[in-house]
Amino acid sequence: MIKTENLCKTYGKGEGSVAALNNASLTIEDGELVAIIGKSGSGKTTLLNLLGCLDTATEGKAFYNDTEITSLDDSKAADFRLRHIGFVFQFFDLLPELTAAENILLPARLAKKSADNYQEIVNSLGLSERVNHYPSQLSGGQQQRVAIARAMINDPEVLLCDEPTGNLDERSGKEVMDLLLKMNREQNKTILIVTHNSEIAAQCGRTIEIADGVIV
Amino acid sequence: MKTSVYILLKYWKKHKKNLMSLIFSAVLLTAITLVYWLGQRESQNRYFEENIYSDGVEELIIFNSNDELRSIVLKENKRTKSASAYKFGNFGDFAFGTVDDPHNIMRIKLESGRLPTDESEVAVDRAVLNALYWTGKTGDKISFDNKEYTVTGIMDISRRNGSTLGVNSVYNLLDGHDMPECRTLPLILFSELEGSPQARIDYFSGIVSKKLTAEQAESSPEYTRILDALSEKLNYEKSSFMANFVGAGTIGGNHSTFRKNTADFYTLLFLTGGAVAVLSVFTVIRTIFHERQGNIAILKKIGMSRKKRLGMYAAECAALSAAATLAGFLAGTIVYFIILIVKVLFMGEMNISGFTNDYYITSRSVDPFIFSGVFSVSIIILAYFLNLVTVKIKLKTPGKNARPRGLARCLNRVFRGGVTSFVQCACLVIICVSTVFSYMYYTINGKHVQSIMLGAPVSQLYAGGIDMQQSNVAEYYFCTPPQITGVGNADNPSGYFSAAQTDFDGGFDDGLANALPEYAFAAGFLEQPFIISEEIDNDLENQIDFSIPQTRELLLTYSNEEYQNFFDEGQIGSKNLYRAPTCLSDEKTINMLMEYVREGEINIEKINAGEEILVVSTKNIPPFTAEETYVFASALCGEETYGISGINVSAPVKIGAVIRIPDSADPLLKRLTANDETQYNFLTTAAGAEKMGLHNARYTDVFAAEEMDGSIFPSEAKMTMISIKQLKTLDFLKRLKNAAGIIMTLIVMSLLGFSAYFNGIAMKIRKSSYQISVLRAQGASVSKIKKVLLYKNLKIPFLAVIFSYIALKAAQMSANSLCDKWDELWMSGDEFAEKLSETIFMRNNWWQTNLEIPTLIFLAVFSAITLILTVTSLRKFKGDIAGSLNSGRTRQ
Ligand SMILES: Nc1ncnc2c1ncn2[C@@H]1O[C@H](COP(=O)(O)OP(=O)(O)O)[C@@H](O)[C@H]1O
Ligand SMILES: [Mg+2]
Repeated sequence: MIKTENLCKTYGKGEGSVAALNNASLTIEDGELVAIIGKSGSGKTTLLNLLGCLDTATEGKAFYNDTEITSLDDSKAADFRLRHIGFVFQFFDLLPELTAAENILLPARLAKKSADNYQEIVNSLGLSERVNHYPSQLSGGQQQRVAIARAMINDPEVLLCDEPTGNLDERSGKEVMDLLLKMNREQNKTILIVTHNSEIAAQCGRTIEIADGVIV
Repeated sequence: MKTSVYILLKYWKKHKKNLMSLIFSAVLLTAITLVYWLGQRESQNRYFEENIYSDGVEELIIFNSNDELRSIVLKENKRTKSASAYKFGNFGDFAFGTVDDPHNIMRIKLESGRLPTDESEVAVDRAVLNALYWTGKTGDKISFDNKEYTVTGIMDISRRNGSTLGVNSVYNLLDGHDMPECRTLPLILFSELEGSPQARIDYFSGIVSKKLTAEQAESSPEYTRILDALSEKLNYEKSSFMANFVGAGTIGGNHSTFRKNTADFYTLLFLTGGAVAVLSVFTVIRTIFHERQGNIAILKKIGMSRKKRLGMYAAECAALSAAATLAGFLAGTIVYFIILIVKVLFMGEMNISGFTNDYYITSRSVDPFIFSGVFSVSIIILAYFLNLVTVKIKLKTPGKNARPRGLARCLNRVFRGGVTSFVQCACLVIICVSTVFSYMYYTINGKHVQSIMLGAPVSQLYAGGIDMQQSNVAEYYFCTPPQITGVGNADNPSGYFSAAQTDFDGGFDDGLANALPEYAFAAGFLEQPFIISEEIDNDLENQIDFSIPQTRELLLTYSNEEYQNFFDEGQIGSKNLYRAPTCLSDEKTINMLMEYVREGEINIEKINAGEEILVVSTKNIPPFTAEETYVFASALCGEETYGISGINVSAPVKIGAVIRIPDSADPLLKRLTANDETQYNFLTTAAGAEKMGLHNARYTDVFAAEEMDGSIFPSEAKMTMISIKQLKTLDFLKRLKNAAGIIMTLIVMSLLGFSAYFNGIAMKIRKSSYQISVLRAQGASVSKIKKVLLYKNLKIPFLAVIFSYIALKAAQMSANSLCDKWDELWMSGDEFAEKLSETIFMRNNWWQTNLEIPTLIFLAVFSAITLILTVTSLRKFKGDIAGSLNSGRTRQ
C-alpha cells in the first residue's frame, strides 16, 4: 500500500519558486493499476519521483506499507528502490557506456540477485536481438523497452512508469501497455503510469488527475 | 559569428568549473615556460655580469686601424659586428675621443645619464670628474680644451666590485699601445670632431662561435682567414695585430659549464612542470570536448555547417590562448620574482635578474616572453586540433553471444578514466620521480639539506677554533691577535724566523683577566718566542736554520744597525735557536691544569714573575724535566723592513711543571692552554710573558660559559663578541637558505600536482555526474559509488608510485654501478663518462640516498589527497537524484 499525506514539493525559493506539487494526499492499494494524467508541467513526474525516493519532499509524508519513505537516508533509500520499486523514466536514462543487457541487469547485480527472469523479460519485450548493443545504437522505442526491462528485472512490487509509451509508436506502445497490464493482472503488481494518452488511462483501474500540482 | 559567440558564452557559463580548469592549466603552461626561460636568461645575465662584462666582448682588436682594414674584416666575415674608438686629443692626463659602438661591444656602462649624441655633449668618467673636483650632475656644463660641453652621462668605472681592472676595453683603449701618454679614455664625444683623429682602434665581435674555447677560437678558419687577409693587404706580421681572445675564450669555454651548474633547478622544474602542464592542458581540453559531444550533435542538427563549427572552436581557441598567455605572463613573472627574491634574500645570490635589454644577452638567448607565448599557444592549438579530430568515442558492439559483464567490470566501464587516468598517472610519475629525485639530490643521505646551488655543507657552531656547542661556550670575545712577520727566506720554512709585529694594539692584561667572572676564561697566543741554547739540545723541536746564505743576507740587510752583527761570534744568530710557541692563560685556567701535572708543580706567583714557565702537550709527555732552565727570546720586526728591530732576551726561566693533557680533558681547556700545531708548547700568564720580555704579551680571547657583561672590556681592548645564539641564528638561516631549494621544489611540485592531478579527479567526477545519478536511481547508494570511485582513483597514485619507485631504483642502481666503474672509465678518457660527469646525474651521490621513505611519504600524501578529493567531489551527490538526473540529461 502506498499512502501520501499532504505531500508538497517546491522548487526554488522566494519569488521564482514553483510549487510543483501541492498537498497531494492519496492512497494506492496493492495490486492497483493507476493512471496519472495531467497537462505537461502539472507535476506528474514530481509525484512519481517523490514516490520513488528520487526526490525529497518539501513538506508532507509518503508511506510504503509501514515505512515512511520520505525520511530515508541515502543508503536506505537506495536499498528501498532496489527491493521494492521499478522505475521507468520518461527519458530512459540508460548508461551509455553499457550494453542493453548490462543496463537491464544492473539493478539485479546491485541487489546481488540472480535475475532468472532475464531471458523471459527480454523475449517478451522483443529485445533479444539487440541486447548486445549500446543505447546510442538503439532506437527510441528500443531504449524505452530496455528501460522497462531494467525496471522489471528485480521483480519489484511497485512499478513507477513515467510516460513509458510517450516515445513509442502505436504498436510498440500497445505492446508495452499489454505487458504492464499482464504484469498487473497475473503478478498482482502495483503499477502507476503517467500518461497523456486517454486510451491508456481508460485501460487502468483508476485515474488520478493532476492540475498545477494539485490532485483533482 | 554572433550566434557562435553566444553559443560559446552560454556553454562556458554553464561549465564554469571546466573553464577554470582549462584556464588554470593553460596559464600554468605559459608560466612555467616563462619562468624557465627567465631563469635561463638570468643565468646568462649572471654569467655576463660576473665574467664577460669585465673582460669586454671583443674578439679582435686592431690598433691604428683605418677604414680599409675594417672593411677587410667585415668582408671576410659577414657575421661580425664592429665598433670603433677614435682618439682626438688629451686633456691633462686624460684622453678624449669619440666612440661609435652600435652593438655595445665596448660595454660602456653609465652611472647615470646617456651617451652623447651631439657635438656639444660629452660623457665623462667619474674618475675624471673627481680629478677635476667637479661636483655637478648630468645636464650640467663642463669646460675643457677651451670649450664648453654638456655632460650627458657619467661613466661608471667602479661598477664591477670596485675593481677598475679591465672594466671595459674602452678604458684600456689607448693605454700603452702607441699612445703611452694616455691613461684612459674617459671623455667620450659622440659626434665627429673637427680634424682627423690622432688614433683609431677597431673592435670586432661575433667572428667565431661563442662555444669555442680560446685556443679553438684562435685556430678557427674564420679567424685565420681574417688574419691572412689583413696581413696580405698590409704586409704585416700577424703578431702586429692585437687579437684579443679573452672574450671568445671565456665566453665560449665557461658559458656552457656555467649554465649547467646554475640551471639545474630550473631545468628540473621546467621538465617536470612543462610535461605536466602540457599533459594537463591536453586532458582538460579532451574532457571538455567529450562533454561537448551532445552540444556538437545539436549544433549539427540545427544546421550549423562544419566550417562554422570549426570557426567557432578556432575563435574559442584563439581567445583562450590569448587570455591564458597574458595571464601566464603575469603569473610567471610573479613566480619568477618570488624565486629571485628567495635566491637573493635567503640564498645569498647577487641581485641579477633575467630581465635585461643588454644586446649581448638578448642577441644570444631566447626571448622568454616570445618563447613561452609561442610555445603554450602552439600546445593549446595542438590540443584543440587533436581532440577535435579524435574526440568521437568508438563503441565496438560485442558479438551476438557475448555475455554481459559483471557488476565490477560494468562500473569500471562506466567510470573509465581513459586518457585522463593515463595522463594523471603519467603526471604523478613525473612529479613523484622529480620530487624524490630532488630529495635525493638536495639532501645528504636524506638527513642534511644541501644547498640548491651545490656544495656548502651546513655550518657548525664554530668560533675561536672550537665547537661552541660541544665546549659549552655561550660567548666568545676576541680581538685581532698579534701578527708575526717571517724574517728570512720564505723558500726555506725552517729558516723562516718569526718576529713580532709592532702594530698590535688590542687585548688586555692580567688585571682585567682576574676580574672576569668565574665562568669566563682568557687566553692568548705568541708565535714568535724562541729558546736560545748554547749547545745543540736534541730534546727541543723546530730548530731555526740559518745555514742558507740568502737567509743570512736578507736578515742582515734589512735589520737595524744594532742587529747586523746577529750572526757574529757570541751573538744570538751564532747560537742554537728553537721555536717556542707560547700560550697565555689566566691564573684560574692554569690552576685547572693541576690534575694533569706530570712533574713539578704549578706556582702562579713564580709564573707571574717570569721566573717559571709551564710546558704543555696534548700529544705526549713533553721532553722536559721540571727545574730545567731555558733562556727565552722574542724578536720584533722592523716597522717597514723585514729585518729585526729589537730582540728581548729573558733571564733563565725554570720549567715549573710538565703537563700532559689527556684526550679526555675538556676541549675548551685544551684550546685555552695548548697549541695543536706543535708537539708541545709553553704556557704562562700574560704577566709572566711580559716579565720574560716576550712581545705582544696580552690576552686576546675570552671564552665564557654564560652570557656576560661585555662592557667589562675597555674600548682599547678592541674586543668583539660572537655568541652561540648568534651562531645558532646564522646556522638556522643557513639551513633555511639551503632548504629554500627543496622547499621551493616542494611548493612548485604541489602546485603542479594540483593542476594536473587534483583537477583531474574533480573533473572526472564532474564528467560522470550523470552516470552517478543513473546508478543512484537504480539503487546504488552514494557510499557504494564512493567505494568504487575511491578504488579507481587510489589505483592511480599506487600505480604511479610503484612505477616511479622501479624507475628511480633502476636509475640509482645504474648510477651506482657507473660510479663503481667511474675511475676506470674516466682514466681511460671515456668520452661518455666525461660528458656524464658534467651533468647533474653524477653529482651529490644521490644514488646512495634511501628512497623508500620519501616514496612512501609521497604515496601517503597523494593517497590522502585522492581520498579527500574524491569524498569532497562526491558530496554534492547527497540530495535529490531527480534534479541531477535532469541536468545530466541535458548535458548528455
Ligand atoms: N528541478 C526543477 N527545478 C525547478 N523547477 C522544476 C524542476 N523540475 C520540475 N520543475 C517544475 O515543476 C513543475 C512540475 O514538473 P513535472 O513534475 O516535471 O511536470 P510533468 O507533469 O510534466 O511531469 C513544472 O512547472 C516544472 O517546470
Ligand atoms: Mg513529466
